[in-house]
Amino acid sequence: MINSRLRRCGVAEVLLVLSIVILVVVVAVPILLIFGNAFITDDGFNLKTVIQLLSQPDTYKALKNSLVIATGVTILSTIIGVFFAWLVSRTDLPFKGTMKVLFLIPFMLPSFIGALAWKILLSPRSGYINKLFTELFGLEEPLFNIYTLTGIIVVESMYLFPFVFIQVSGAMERMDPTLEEAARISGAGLLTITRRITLPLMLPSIVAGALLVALYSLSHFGVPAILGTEVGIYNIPTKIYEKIYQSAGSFESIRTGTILSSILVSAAAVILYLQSLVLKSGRFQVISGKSMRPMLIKLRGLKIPLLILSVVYIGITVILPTVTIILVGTLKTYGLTIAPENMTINNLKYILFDWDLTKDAIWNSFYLSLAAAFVTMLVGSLISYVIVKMKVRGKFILEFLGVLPFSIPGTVIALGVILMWSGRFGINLYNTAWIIFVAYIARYMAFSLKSNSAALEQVHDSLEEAARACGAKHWQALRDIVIPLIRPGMVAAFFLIFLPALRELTTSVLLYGPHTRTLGVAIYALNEDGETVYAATLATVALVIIVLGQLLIKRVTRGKEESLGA
Amino acid sequence: MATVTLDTISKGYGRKHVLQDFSLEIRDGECFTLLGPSGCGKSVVLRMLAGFENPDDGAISIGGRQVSGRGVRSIPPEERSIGVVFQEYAVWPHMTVFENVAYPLKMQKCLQSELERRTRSVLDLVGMAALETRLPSQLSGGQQQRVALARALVSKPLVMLLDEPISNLDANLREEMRFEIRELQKETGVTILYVTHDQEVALAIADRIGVMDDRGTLRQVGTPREIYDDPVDSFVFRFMGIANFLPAVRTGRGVCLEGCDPPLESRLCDGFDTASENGPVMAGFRPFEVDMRRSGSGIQALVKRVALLGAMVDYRLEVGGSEIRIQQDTALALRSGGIYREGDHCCLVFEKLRWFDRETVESERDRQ
Repeated sequence: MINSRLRRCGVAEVLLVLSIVILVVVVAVPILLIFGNAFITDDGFNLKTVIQLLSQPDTYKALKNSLVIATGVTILSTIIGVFFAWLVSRTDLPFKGTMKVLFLIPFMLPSFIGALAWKILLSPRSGYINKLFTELFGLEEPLFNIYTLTGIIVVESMYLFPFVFIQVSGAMERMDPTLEEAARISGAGLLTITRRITLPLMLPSIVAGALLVALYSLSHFGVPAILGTEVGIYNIPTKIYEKIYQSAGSFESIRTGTILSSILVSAAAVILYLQSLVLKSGRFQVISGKSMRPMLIKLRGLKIPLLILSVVYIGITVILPTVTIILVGTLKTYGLTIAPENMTINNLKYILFDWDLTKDAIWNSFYLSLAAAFVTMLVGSLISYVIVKMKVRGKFILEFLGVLPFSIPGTVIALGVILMWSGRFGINLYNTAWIIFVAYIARYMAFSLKSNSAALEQVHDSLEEAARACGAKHWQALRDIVIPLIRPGMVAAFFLIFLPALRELTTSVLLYGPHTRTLGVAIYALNEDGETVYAATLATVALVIIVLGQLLIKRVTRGKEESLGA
Repeated sequence: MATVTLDTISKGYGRKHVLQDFSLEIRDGECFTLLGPSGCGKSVVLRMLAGFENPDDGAISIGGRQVSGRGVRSIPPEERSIGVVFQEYAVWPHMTVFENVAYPLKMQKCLQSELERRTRSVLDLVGMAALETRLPSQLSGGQQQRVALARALVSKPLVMLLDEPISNLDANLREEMRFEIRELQKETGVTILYVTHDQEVALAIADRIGVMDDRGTLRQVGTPREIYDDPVDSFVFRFMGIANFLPAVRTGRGVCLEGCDPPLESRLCDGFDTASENGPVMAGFRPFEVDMRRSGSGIQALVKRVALLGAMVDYRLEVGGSEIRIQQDTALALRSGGIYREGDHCCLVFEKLRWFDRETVESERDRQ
């Protein structure tokens, strides 16, 4: 009896159970702990204290700020993203190809480094631009105070608008031009067509991009942490951080954290649900898979002004902050004017070779990202394989669990792993690198699942079946056929995780211990401690690593395209 | 080689029953075609033989060995000694032609010299020897399918399973491949199960054909001639080609087509009485089984539409209030008084009539 049951447990069942266990341990239990901690006290289900905690002025204010910031960022990013997407894909703007690449750069720039640069430029008293203006024009007030909700919204939008830009420019390029041509034949002018035909058709893509921005902004830590906390502006993630750090993990603060986290998760779930609705509706009828040449709107006299506008925009949002970071990173002391005699290479030497704190941070980030990317890639391909390819009873459990990683913000993951791995289940990883490692796996599982399932869906079932019919056992078919064919997807998953993990801040900032600061945490902490110059130097190092990484990923993915074309 | 037996197989997905009590025997060394409309479950039969799916109930054996069935561990595909050719070729894109074809031998841990010899010889057989270092992406559809065939043949399987292997190819290539598959089978003597929805292919390639209906029931098994000429019911008759049906009744003067005056010749009426025991009947015939005459005492018809299709002429005729389709050899028509024009009257002489249950024919027509 036992024997026959064991025999029925083939490879399929083993893989399924393994996948479920991994997702349960890494994702599901931490979330359950958060909800449990938020709503269940010693007296059982308890909504009263939840409301009590939420109506405390500072929590309530954080909620309000999060909402205001997310709304503002979504609107601003959508306007910027749609406008530039239209400009590079539907008009005769000169140097469109180059401009398109340039508009994607803000994506690579970590937004908290951007925020750091803007703080250096526009903080009310010591910001370089503000100082310049008060000196030049004798102004009493600073030109612009970046430590405001508006400041946070503007800076976040600068680095989040590519979400909309990518969605919309992609859709505009794939749009069936005959739809516009039909309108034109009916006598509509080009601007009327854009307004009445093109934009409405683009609406699903626009909304999808906007929701992505909303999701990201709602749970964003870096920019509000750098620009807001100093003057008491908190959003949900920064409030959670503050609560947990100031009270050194007291029950009350953890409870507030879990309640706020529950709100974040629920909001994220709603946003993702809306997005799936939007993407399902409409879009496919008007956009064909084939790439066609849509007609372009002639800008005529506006051509040069709009080009200048685009270039200036890139200059202000990308080049100015980057240059600021690099230059300030070389200053002998913060506040000196930027001039050759005030600059030194010693800062760089100090943080790269002499200072343990920064040296450790770089090394920690490097090996944690490498390990997390590798493990997450493998686990993600295993889970994707079970979801996409296998016919096995109980798969629906895995399909449900597989959606979870997409809806969990970084702050929530950090809180979840704290609850799970601080000894509650006999294992205490707090203050070790392991807890960050576990958190990274949960945080980046969604990337891995996405990339691996996409690759697996390209591999027709019959390819694997053919191998079985040719005498290959299941594992041999996997080794000889499936894995070689999805290798590009696995490599892409690896880099999709490795690069963001290198500069991760949101999750690590809640989990680091005395010896486990990561690159992002170190930059953030240096800035908090007033070591702005060293923060900028370390940020320069981070930027160099990111650029090198991007170049590498480009080479690798180009190789992937070639092999797919073959 | 091997006999294949499916014994009272049942298979369902969720609540949907695809097959129920399905039994079939494929004889040693024959080319058996399973023919049916898409979605009828014929591919499921093939997939269960291959071991990609397991029957919910019933037993399957290949070459006398039970491979799946009640209370027995089902034998996985790799241990069944089968070769499978898929509709979508399933040639591995990351391996060369040679590597693809040699893979089954590699899995058998064949000696290198033996592996090379056998791979080359089967590549020769399918005419791909010159292209062995190519990648699949450098091959045409027909060439890829040859590679798939070679790969399925190389390990000398007991049974070859082909799932619509040529329906992705263009018409000329289809004809050529159909012929080649037949040749290969004669040369190797392997038992073949060929699954298709295309009756033309089935008729051309098979030793025996099994016709399935869209509920997964096997309606008839027989030689191509039997299936085409002596269908057991109107479903098979209709599925094997263009079919005309005219209602018939027995009157005092003999068997008459409804709305037509003269009774049918008695040589045509064999089987009418047996068929009409269960209720009213329909006469069924193919477009080629009628002769059109300019004059005579036969059944009168009116030419409604004419289309010259090249080698033949296609007519729509009205007979006693029903419409039928008749085809005539163009050359023959030109020699014997020219092609009819719309509005012409003619007189029909039937070569052969089959008798079907009227209610069934009408309900089948409604479902289409």
